[in-house]
Amino acid sequence: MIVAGASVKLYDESNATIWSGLTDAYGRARFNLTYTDYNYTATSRLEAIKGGYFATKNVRLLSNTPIIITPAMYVMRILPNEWIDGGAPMGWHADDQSWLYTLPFPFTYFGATYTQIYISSNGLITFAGPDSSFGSSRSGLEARLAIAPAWDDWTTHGVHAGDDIYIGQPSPNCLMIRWQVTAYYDYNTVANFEAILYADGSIRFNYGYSSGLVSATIGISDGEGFSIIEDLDNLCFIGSRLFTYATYLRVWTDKSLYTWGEAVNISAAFTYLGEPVENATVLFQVTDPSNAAYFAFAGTTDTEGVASVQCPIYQGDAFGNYTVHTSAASTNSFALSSRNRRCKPRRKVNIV
Amino acid sequence: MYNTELYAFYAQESSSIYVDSSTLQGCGLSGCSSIYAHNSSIEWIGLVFYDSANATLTDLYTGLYPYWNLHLNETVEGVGYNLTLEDTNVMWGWNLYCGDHSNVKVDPSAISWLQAWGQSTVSVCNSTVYWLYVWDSAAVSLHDSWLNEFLLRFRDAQKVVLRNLNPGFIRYWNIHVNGTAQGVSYNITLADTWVRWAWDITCSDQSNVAVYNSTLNSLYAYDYPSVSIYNSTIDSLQCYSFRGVLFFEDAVLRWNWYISSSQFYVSGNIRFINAWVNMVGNSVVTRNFNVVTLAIT
Repeated sequence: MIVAGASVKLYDESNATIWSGLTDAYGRARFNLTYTDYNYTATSRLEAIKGGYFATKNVRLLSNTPIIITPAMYVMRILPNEWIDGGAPMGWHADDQSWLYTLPFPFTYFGATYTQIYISSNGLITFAGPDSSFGSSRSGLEARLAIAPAWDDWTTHGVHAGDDIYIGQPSPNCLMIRWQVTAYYDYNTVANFEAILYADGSIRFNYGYSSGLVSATIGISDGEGFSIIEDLDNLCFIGSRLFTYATYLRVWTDKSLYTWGEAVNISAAFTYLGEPVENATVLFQVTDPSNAAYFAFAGTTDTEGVASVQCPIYQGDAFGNYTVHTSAASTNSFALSSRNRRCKPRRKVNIV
Repeated sequence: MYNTELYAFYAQESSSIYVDSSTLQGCGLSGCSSIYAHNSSIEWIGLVFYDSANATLTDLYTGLYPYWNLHLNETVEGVGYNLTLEDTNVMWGWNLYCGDHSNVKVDPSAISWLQAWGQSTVSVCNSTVYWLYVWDSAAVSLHDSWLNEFLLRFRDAQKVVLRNLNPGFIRYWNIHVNGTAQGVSYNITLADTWVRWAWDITCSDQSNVAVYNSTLNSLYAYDYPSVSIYNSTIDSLQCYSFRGVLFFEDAVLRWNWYISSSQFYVSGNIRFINAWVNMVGNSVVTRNFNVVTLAIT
């Protein structure tokens, strides 16, 4: 969904604003940056704010354009091991190769939707083109738009029986890619791992049997400043990794139907990349069924990132749907807002 | 010279050189010079054709030449120099420099470097050409051949639109038939020819060059050209003393971007895949960024 009229600001490395503007009706904005011999490796930070949305992205001379900024950031959770196994062997027996695969459903990754991916023998999934690099590293993954369930110098060329990449769909809304590989640097080291791509954009890594020490880089990266990366030397049946979109601001009311004279308890939980944001100011604004301003109050988030206010409902207030708008601004300059749960003040007596 | 290791030498005018039991990177001939190589190894040999030289060169291969003489084994007219190889290995290939009104036919041979300029005419058949560079009003055609790398240079106020410059088998391609090349006097035809890396493009002066749907090995810009790249992939982008404009639309750079002593403006949409940039020589690059804001739906 395109966001028109978003406030877009660009900050330099000292956090000074160097450009600001608004997105047009097509969600677009343009700006110039000048690079010299002395600053051509500099990183600027781009920030977009509009109503319920906040997103940020790093900008460098080699940033891809158009720069797509979206709040589609991810959080990672480590879950109990959920090894699936199975899938159809692709017959991809090679060292340092990458193959094109057409997805069974459109998959959204960092805000862009893809219908094809490239799957490498080295445990890397890329989107922009084939990438058969074997030199795994944190910085290498940071520089790539990639998913790395276990990026390492693997080979599938058949050192051990069954070495291959297997693909299947455990359910219609997900795609499982399973690697059964041998370490190129030590044929005694084998590994089994899976990446599951879900139609809702979530990603899960599962890990099966693995022998020996490895030097795997695992995680996700947009190649432009956002990444969640781990360097692991043991993959043997370790916990699954689940990557889901971060929640920024979740708003709820204590119930959905109200009568005159009651108070609506409105709460908002403010998290950034999965962590609660404490001491953030959240502005609650409620509009009545005619979309006129009805109530406005500010709350402060607690240690759980939750702020709450009470909205009184007076006799004679219009029946219908009331909409809660919220915005949040913390002392560390995070600014979020959201439009969420509807509350319905309605008399319990039958007067309708 | 005897039992010598040399990088290269160039024999000209009336010089006469005898090479025995030596290893050379290369040697070239022009004028009325002569080279006699015996029991030696030479990476490349350069032959210059100019004025109204006429040559039909057959079987300039790489490998051991038990005995070979330019005037005895090939058909050459208007060529004053002479070359004899005896028990000598040619390791890499033959460099042909064809200028003025020379007319050179090659069939079949291993050409490491082919340059054509002036109003020369070069026809290559059943051969491998490692590197091809054509300028002025020269006409070069390759048939049933294999071409590794190919430099297209645009200069002055030439206005050029090129499409589908890709590696692979080319049934037929002509710079004036398959593209628009206003102000370009040279002519290049590829027919039933395989190209490997192929397409290098150099833009200079105030040329205006647009490339569509292509895979370029390199793009080299200097002076004030205006260069637009659409739906294409570039391996290496090099800007030296460049004061012009770069525009990209659905372009990909997948190796390096080298910027030296340049001041230019870049706009449009491009993706960088494993690319790196280096900027030196007081360069200033202004890049226009497009932003699109999207929300989670």
